[in-house]
Amino acid sequence: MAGGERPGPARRPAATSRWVDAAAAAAIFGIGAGLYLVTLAPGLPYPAGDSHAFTTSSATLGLARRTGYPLYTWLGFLFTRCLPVGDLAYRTNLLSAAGAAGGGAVVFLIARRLDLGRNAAAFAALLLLTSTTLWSQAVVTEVYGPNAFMLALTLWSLLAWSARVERGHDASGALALAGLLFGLSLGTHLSNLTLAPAFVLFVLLVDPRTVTRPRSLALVVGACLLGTAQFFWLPLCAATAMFPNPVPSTPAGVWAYTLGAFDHLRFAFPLGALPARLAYYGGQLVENVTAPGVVAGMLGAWVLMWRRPAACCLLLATYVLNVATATQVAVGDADRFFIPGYVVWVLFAGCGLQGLSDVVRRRGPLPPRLAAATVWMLALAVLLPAARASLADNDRRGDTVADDFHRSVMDVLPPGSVLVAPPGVFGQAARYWAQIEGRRPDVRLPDGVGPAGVPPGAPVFTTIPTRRGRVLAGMARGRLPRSRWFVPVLLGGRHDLVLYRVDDAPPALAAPVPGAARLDRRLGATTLVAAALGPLTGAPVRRVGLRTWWRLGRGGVPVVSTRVGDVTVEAHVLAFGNAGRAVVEAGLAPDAIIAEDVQVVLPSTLAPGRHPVRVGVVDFTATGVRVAWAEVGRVEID
Amino acid sequence: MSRSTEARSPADRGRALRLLGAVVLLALQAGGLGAVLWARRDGGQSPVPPALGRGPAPDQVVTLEFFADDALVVTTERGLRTLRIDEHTTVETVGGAGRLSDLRPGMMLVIWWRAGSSGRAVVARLGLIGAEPGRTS
Repeated sequence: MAGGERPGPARRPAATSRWVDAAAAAAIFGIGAGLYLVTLAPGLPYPAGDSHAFTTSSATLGLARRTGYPLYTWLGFLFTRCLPVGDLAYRTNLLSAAGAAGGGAVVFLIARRLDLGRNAAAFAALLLLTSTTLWSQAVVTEVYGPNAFMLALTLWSLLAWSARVERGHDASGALALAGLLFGLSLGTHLSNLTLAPAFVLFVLLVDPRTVTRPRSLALVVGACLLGTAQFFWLPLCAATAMFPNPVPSTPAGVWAYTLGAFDHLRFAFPLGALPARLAYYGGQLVENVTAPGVVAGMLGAWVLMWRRPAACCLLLATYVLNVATATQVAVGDADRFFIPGYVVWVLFAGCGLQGLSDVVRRRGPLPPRLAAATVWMLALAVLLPAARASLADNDRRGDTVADDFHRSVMDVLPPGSVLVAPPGVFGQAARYWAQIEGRRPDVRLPDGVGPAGVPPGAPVFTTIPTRRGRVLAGMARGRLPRSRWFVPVLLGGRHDLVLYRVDDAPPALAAPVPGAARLDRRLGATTLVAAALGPLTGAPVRRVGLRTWWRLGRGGVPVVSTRVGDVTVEAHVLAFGNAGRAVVEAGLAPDAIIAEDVQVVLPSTLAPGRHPVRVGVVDFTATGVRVAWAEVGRVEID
Repeated sequence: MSRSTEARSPADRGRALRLLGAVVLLALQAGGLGAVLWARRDGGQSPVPPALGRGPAPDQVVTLEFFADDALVVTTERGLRTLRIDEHTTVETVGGAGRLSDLRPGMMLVIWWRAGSSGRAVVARLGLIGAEPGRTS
């Protein structure tokens, strides 16, 4: 037997039971897909991360952000074209759900190849499906779900190859398939390349003569290169590169876009930080597979090493390489880089449960059936709380804030407007709604450094955040002169979901106060002099006009907030920094009553009914925060 | 190939692999646990937030969105979360000690926390990443 494999108690199932395994894997897929579907984001999620950019590149078959992700983009394109449900963003969200659920199903099949019984295999698969990081990536558009599927498929194909070797069959084709799948998996995440030594080690352990057989070697290397050849697609679609990314139109450009990308973020931590990074990882592992799952995994590695040493070395090396590289990556979303390690850990955990079950059944004081039932009750006790916690943490059904805002932006922009959105992946929501969903094909979205693409006389708007009345230079990248005035027009539900009109003249902050709207309500150190609600407009997303007049107190310019019913729908620094700027540059009297005239986007998740609209001022005390509210009217949501 | 290698059976190879694997596994598990315990010996806190320098990860990096009574509503990668603040909450900036009144919507915060006596997380320290709202990358 290759690698000295030792038959376990639940030895490889007979060929007749493979259909049962396939049906069970399908059921696992169904469970995962069901969990993810009921918590799936309905459209573009917030915060955007890379989600919006993956949706736009998939929908247009364009170049994704670095490192290219060709296979992912093609799969995304198929989903956007072939699934007749929801909008395009919903369909790419579905790809994540399908990928993650598929990963769980393949983990079940891997576990069966590791001689686990169906219950232990199902435990491993369900532990992965309910792990919180994978779940979080399965309900929004991201690459990690499909990548978990591709990685699991590669591991499964390697184990299938080793089974053929064990039986003495010609296994060249099976190994070539593994090579092809591995090459393809680089198109769902290039970091899979770091796992290659583990796969090579496994091949050498199972059948070292593979490297001395020219045909086998040529087949596997050729198949791997064939899978990797997907990256030749990058130069072909280089023209669609997202501003301000580099363009992979030359060999050097392709290198910089793929293997050379983000090199400053890799191995970014000093050696002294390693224990703390491992502690961080340890916390992530417990959060994902639970403390009992961690213990089961540690135990299971020993069980597998005893029963299937070569297979254990494959999983162990894959795991170590993943943790070693992912803990050294200095990115904000480092937690997701550990998902390949979780794929392996749940298999160890399944082995641990299988080992425990075997021991209790054979040597425990309880009758075998009762012992087995006790072990599976323990497994359920691990799975159910994990599933409940993940569900609470990753329910994105009501995540409509990005879509609500951008739909409203498309409603309020005048014909022929120019909309300067944040660059690169951060500005794709505007492109999605204006051009890809086709809501406003007349709106121009200038790309490239400098003011090119902004026709003279056209109304100019921006969604780039501002500070002290000026647009952030790093995001404007020369497309908007900072000397212009950025007047808030539309407030979405988050700090960076604000539409500004770009004007040459300062806004009319010292507008006269209408007597009918007079309130003279003291809110902390600030006085709300007057307020007036406009009519509800927009469909299907509603928005309401809100005019307020303020007299500042000794606390200076306050943070103000709007609340509809029980939902806080926005918060901002009064006048978005324009008040201070106007005092210095436009002669605004420091004690002037400051007027603000905006439209506020109402969340589409707001329940129908008549809701009070309140305006609040944040009041900082010595040890805490209070918000003082004043009702300014009511809105009727039908 | 030497005579001794030729004579080595798959069972022998399996035994050797099992022994070697066990040593590696023991080293990895002991090393991993040791590193975690080493890192936790001082509470696991880094003197420098990672976004300001290159230290270990903090508990979480979030963006401040709204205020509520004795609470901050922040955006995480998975949506809005509410952070309770109390008299133990402290604010630090790159330049030194800060105040709650330094906080503005859109600021990115590095949060360290500990479990409160009730089991609910309370913010122990808030580190402001610069003072500029909006994304840093």
